[in-house]
Amino acid sequence: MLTLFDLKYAARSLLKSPNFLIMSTLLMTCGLGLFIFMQSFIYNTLEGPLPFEGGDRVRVLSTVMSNGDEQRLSKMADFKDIEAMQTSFEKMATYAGRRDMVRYGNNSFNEWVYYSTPEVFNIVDVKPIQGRIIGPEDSQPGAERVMMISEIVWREWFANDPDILGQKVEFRDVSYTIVGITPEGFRFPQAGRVWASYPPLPNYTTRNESQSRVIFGVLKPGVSDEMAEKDLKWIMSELDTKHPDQQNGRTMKLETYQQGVSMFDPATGDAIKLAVILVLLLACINTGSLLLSRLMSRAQVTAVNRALGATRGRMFAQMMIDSFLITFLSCVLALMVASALMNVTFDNLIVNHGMVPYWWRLGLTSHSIIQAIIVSIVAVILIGAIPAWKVANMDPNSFLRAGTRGSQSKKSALINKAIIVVEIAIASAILIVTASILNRVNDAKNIDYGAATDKHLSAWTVLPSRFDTEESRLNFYKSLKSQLEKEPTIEQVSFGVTSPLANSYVSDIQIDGINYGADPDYPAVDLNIVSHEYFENFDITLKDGRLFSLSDKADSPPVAIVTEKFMQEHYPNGDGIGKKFRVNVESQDWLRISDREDRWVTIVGVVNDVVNGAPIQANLDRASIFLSHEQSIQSITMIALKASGVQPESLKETYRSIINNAYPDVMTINIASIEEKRKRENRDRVFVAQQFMVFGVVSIILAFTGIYGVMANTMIQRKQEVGVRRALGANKGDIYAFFLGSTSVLIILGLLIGVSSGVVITNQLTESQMAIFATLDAVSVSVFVAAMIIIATIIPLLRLLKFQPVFALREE
Amino acid sequence: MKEIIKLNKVSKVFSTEEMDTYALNEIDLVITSGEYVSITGPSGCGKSTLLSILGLLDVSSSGQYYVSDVDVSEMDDKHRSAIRNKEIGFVFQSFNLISDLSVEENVALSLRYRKDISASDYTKMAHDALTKVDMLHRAKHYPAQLSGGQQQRVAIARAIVGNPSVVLADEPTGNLDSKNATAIMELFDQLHQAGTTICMVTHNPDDAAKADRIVEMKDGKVVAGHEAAAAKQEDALETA
Repeated sequence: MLTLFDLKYAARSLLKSPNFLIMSTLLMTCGLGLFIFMQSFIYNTLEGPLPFEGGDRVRVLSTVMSNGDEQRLSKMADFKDIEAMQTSFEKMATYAGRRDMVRYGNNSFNEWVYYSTPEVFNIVDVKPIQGRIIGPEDSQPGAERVMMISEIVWREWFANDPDILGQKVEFRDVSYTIVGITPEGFRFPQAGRVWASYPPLPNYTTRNESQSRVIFGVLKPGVSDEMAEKDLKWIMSELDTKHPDQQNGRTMKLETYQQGVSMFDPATGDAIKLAVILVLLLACINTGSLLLSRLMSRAQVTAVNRALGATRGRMFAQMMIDSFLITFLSCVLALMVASALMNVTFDNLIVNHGMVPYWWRLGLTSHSIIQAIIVSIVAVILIGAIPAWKVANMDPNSFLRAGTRGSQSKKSALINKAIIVVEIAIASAILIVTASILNRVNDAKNIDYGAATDKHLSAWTVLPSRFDTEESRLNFYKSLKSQLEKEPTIEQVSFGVTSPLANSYVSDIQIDGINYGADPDYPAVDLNIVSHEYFENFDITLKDGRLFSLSDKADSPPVAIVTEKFMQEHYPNGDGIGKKFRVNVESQDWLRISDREDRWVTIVGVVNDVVNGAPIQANLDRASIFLSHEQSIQSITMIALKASGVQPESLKETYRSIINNAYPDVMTINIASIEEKRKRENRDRVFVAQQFMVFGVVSIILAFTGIYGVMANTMIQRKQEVGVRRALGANKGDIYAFFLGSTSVLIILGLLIGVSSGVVITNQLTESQMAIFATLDAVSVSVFVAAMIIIATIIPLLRLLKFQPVFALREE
Repeated sequence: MKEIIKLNKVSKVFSTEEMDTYALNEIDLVITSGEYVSITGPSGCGKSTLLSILGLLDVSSSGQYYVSDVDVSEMDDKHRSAIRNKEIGFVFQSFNLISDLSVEENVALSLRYRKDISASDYTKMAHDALTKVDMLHRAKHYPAQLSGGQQQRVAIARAIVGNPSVVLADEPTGNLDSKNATAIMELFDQLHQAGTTICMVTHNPDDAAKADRIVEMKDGKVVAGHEAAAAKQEDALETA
């Protein structure tokens, strides 16, 4: 049985070895700190339950198209049928967010409005601080449209007007009455702070025409994800049977609500968790190795205790106290480090992302602390068990005989070799994953969009309903363009429905003359509808035929320009100019395509390949088509301004000022330079890359110091052997060759395990667009790790061989 | 007779900030081919330091040292190692066998550092050496499986396997019981009879007396050098 004396003795003994105490505590604080920080971050943002009753059972239903594409938004028609047929959810709800210009008196606010069914508020269990929540009666035909606002909106927009309830605001030409104010801090979904009652469902002629929205629900207690997915599978199969021409074999997939808004997907979260576990393991191995050396150096004390009658069990327990004290101290420090890291990270996230979802907990939670305690207990065992077992089981005689020298036993040598292999494997695996993520970040940073984007500012422009004719819209765009181009800082203005790093409008097309059969598999392309200046504005090069011109008008034959990839895919002989295709209206839900775009259009030109939307592989691989803006004038358009002599960001105010003065009811959204969007697009990836860079640096430092420690220890243990070899004629080169030869085998083994593990993890991350593996990385990492390990081997050897051979032999 | 070893005013000084300590002070010593020399003296007199310098395991602070007429005083590590490997065999008090090598691998170890012997000859030469010390039957065993006396026999086999010009032995019986010590000294006798040059550090007068010549050391200096037989005679006279 351990006593307070044992504890005091261990503490006093540790304090007498300050170098050991500092080094081991630093190692463990580093490992535990990173572990607690990342585990807490992932739990707080991705895995923890939402902060209301049943929050751990909330699931989003994502649509999976027959080609495997997943989308978080689903069809309203599907929601209605699933809600009626399902047996797995106790509540289901849906909402759709839309950016709108909300008017109140003479003021207007550009805000995301979430059109929500009443169940949304029941599920998230929000209790208004004033008024009421949106109820079922508000969605009845003929009911007054109502709106809830958050406390912050009440404060910012309405200056805490005490008579706010019952006031009317207007958006999309519809009047809404404010009926409730949600409590401070409540935002849903993610950053949402204004909610409108769901309008009575429109009559849609096809299921695909129905609006897309987020569908979510709370699973019944005891219903697993597998059971619910089985239920959904059956429902979707029934719907497919009933509406085969409209459902097109789509199915539903469940994911937690948090997964859709997390900075990374579960695979990346798992990779991060694995990385921190490996870093912690490295820290434990190194601390254990230090502890083993320390306990071996104190073996004589242990031997005396054993000679005085202490049992093995008691000695083992005594030895474990060191491990406990080091880990306890490190755990306290690690919690402080993790807490500081959490605060810094969240501060940066708020700076970079703006609002973060309200359920993201910003500090350490009780879950983090419990996890820290559990992992610390495991660490105590990992660090202390082998050294304690070894010392407790040693032969006391061997240590009590004065003058007996230590030597490296086969068991010790095997343990040392295993440590070296594990350290190399862990460091190289983490470095491979880090390099692969950095590849992806650099790839996304340097991606060739086929268009010049460095001087451009873009913004969505949403026209109100008064622009209800093509002519009025055309006049608006002409007038806006003319006003903007008067500005000396604006070189050119163009319009499109998207631009590089904006949306990707994937549409199915039919090529004229091709019979797609009874079960058609139409080719998918990326669709953009652009003004004739678009190509010049973005330096997109004409490869064949012609660009759009002013002569391409609404009443002239519809024309299209395609990319080289389109030509290669559909007209490999290069004879595509003059050929026709049509866009399948039903395949395009996001973009409101009218019958006009459904016409057969003639290809008049070929331009270089252009990437729209996010830099994901699917977008990079897809061919693009351009329809004429002048022939298909839209009410939502992305305007692109090319800066002249100034940074594109500086055009924001110019643009806002012109449009607010001339068209106060026209809403502009997402005004940003394309370079800003590029950075924004990459920021989550950069965040993950930064984390892995920290893991990579820490792991290589830990591996280097750990292996150095093992090698230095090995040199001490094998010093005499070196002396003997030298006495037998081995020169310094022979000794280097001998040790480096043995280390090389370990390096090769460690790298084989590490690199292959790194490749496996990278493959998982590649699927979620988070990493790209390059063989050169594996080679570079292997060379780097091998060099580090060789240095870690050579340094103690240099020290040993600095002296004459007799030095090594005299130790006897 | 050919001079295998020749020291000319060799000193070894250990310097600290406060003082210089002479472990060896202007030692002159010649060992000729086939000779059996004992070096004796009290603890700390410099015997082991002298043996280390003779074995090229340490460098002198001043003076000249010749091995087979080659001045090795200023040689670099590579050449010193080659001479150590070819010309000198070592026997240590504590055997110093490498625990994870078998007996025959231990014996053949020095051959692996030679360029003039092919790998195929290692085992044969090791077995020949083991035969000379009557340990061939334990060739496949590991040091931990042998008694102290057996380990020292193997160590002697390792020292002679490459036919060195001289075998340097540092208290070879120091870790052995009297029976084994006698057997080892007999083995050295046999080697000497067979023509091996031996230089042995010992504090045991009986062991020292088995040599052709005894070199007595005190405070880093050779204080006397005489034929072992004459020393025995002198002892007898003093006793009488």
